[in-house]
Amino acid sequence: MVLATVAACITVAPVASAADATREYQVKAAYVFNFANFAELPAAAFAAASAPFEICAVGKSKWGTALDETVRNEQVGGHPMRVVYDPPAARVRSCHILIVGADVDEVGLLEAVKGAPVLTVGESADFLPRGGILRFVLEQGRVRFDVNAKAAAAAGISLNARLLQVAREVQQ
Amino acid sequence: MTGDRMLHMMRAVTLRVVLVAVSVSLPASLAAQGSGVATYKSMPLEDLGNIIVTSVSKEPAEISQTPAAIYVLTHDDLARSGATSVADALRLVPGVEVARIDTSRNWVVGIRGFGDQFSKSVLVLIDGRTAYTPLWAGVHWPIQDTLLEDVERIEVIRGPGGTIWGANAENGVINIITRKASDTHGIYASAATGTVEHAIAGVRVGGGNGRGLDYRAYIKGINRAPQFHTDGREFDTWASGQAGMRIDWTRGRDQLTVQGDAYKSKLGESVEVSTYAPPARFLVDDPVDLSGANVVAKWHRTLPNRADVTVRSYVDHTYRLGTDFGERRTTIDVDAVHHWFPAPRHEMVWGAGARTSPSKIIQTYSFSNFDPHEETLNIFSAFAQDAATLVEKRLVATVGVKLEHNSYTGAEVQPSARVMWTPSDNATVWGGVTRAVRVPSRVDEDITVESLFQVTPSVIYGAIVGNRELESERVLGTEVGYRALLRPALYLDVAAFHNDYDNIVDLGKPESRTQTTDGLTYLAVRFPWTNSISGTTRGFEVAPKWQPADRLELRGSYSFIDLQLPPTPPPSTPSTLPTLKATPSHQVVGQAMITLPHGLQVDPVYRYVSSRASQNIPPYHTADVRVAFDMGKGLALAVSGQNLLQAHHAEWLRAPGPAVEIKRSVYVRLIWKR
Repeated sequence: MVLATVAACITVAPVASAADATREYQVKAAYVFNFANFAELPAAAFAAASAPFEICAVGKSKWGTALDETVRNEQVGGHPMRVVYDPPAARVRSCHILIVGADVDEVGLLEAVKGAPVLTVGESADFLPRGGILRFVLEQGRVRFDVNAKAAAAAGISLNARLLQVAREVQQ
Repeated sequence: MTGDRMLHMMRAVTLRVVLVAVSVSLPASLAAQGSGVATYKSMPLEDLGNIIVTSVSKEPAEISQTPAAIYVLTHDDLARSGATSVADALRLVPGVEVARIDTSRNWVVGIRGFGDQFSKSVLVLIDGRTAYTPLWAGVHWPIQDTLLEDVERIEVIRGPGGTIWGANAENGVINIITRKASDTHGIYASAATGTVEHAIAGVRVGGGNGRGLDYRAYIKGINRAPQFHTDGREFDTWASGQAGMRIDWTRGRDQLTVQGDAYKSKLGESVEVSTYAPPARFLVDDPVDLSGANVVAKWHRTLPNRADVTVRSYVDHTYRLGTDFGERRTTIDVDAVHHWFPAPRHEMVWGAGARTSPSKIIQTYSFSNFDPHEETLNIFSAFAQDAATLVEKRLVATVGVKLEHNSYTGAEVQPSARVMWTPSDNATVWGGVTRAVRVPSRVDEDITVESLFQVTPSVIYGAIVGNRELESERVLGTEVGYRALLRPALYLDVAAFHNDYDNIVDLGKPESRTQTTDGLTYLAVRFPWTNSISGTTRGFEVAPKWQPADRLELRGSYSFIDLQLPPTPPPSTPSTLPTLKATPSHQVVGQAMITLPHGLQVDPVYRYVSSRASQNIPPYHTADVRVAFDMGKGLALAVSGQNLLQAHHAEWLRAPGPAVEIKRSVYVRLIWKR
């Protein structure tokens, strides 16, 4: 039986995250800020022209204050950016970016936002095969990301060519 | 019979029988570059991927929360080690002893003692497939290969792992996990050439449809040159070819994985052969033919409430034909595991499995035989384990038991109890008591191997004979450990153990009888395997990791073991004790990983292994260095030097003949990725 199972079973919940976000999550927050700017969501994704651009983060928080600090006083297409932590399940379809932690039920979340114009960002190895759009990956100590272009198209989101160029891999 | 002569003969026989034979996420406060959030946000998107965010050895978070002595080699660690095989990469793991006998014979890989060419107490899994042969209850590393580029990580658990992993994890478990097919898209091609590694080439192609179906296929070839022989018999050549594939299909909550490998190898071997007509004994240097194939299918379903279920099945076929004998074996295994949360504060894993492994011996000479030629090993097992959180985030107790029924020794019970205390967010203290077993193998049960001892005045052959009454070897292991992030960039892992063993197999009192083979009537002095040795091992491992700067990571380990075994009998009595006692008491590893600008990596390793006194192998210091350079456009060049501090040194004695010495070697590798 694989260790993953075992580790899961002889493991307590991870200890509380340090008050500071790690540098890894500060860089990921900067990426999320860029994703918001380089992805074009359909107008229907917003209830009003001045409605907020909601970045939802689900899962045990490793973000500290990194996300809040990164998007503070920022806006995208006239929509002020806002961070929402662990929104209720009924609300995730109205998120604009949904960040799915590695420790949550990503299958359930991806099903919940299926067909909605939500830019999903994940961290687990299965995130793209399961229909997620962007996935962070650590490579040689650096943060990179992969793109599932089909999933983006299915959500009605168009990704800027520059984003696709920077991606480690774009799955067509 | 004179003592020395008899000993030499029996050693030769024994050996022939054998035949066959956490990183640490750095808090932002430590960040040297920029002022964090504001800096990163203002950087061009293209530059974010150049910031080093953590040590290249980042361990999965769950590792630091496992109540066992665990060490992980990541994909990057493997690449930077310069190792060209999994076994050689394991030299970097604390508590693990690795010795190379020569180029083509099996590696000696032991955990916390009892390393041997035929190590019997370490369980190795590759993507859940048991890489272990019931022929001699060990792992034949040369046939358990894959494209190293596709290995995601190697988890090494020191200590008895009986509860979850079943029998034969008496001293530890090595878990090799390959990358998901979605992580290996594109083309990877690598070619290496060097002084011992004459040629290693591999190509992998992967892709996916973006809707949950991903695949890869690879092909690999190896040609290795002999090591240094003081007697000039350079029999240890290596030529092999292997191909494999993996398909992952993800749909909603279900994942299906099908993977497989097929290989064909010719590995150099030197065997001492005895004949009866006429009575003679001589060496035959002739390669062993090895081939095989395996297919693994796995279904995984994610259930509500963080539960999941996994069903896995595999078929593994192996074929071996050497001078001394051959074997054909097919193992079929199926197991299922359910992981769930039956109540608040309880996390449970339980499962069951069945395995059947029919084997057929091919006899090549009269001197060595297995009786019966055909035999099937059947194993049924079930286990359950519960992790109870006694104090939220601070104290967890885990109890488990595995029940197994095998066709050699019947029912085996292997219980385990562990506790993990997390006094602060940065430290873990754990302890455990485990009972584990190693069940007998075909070599223990069924073998007869004779060796000519004298011709005049009367003809005498010595023999090792299997014993169908053998019981399992047993260990009761007690362990404690401490892991802590002492400073933001300094991580320390310490573990200590005390293992009590019973029923270790040795050669028992001989009985003599007159018998006739190939028309020759002679006296046979027959030594049966018996469960006669009890002993204790105790020791500790200290393994710090320190990242003093973004571009520099330092690692080290010191491993100590003290073996308390019965005195070695006088040379007139053949025994397994000299091999059991061969484990070096002290091992030191020092490693630096230096990441320079422009894709330049410099990775030196220093290693010290103390003497193997029972084999007269002296201690040695040596060093490896890898320098890699990223040339852009997907091309990378690496130069690796191994065993650099001397022209050659011995690591293990394998009679007959003097120990083969492992050479200083250098190879150059060109990698292309697209």
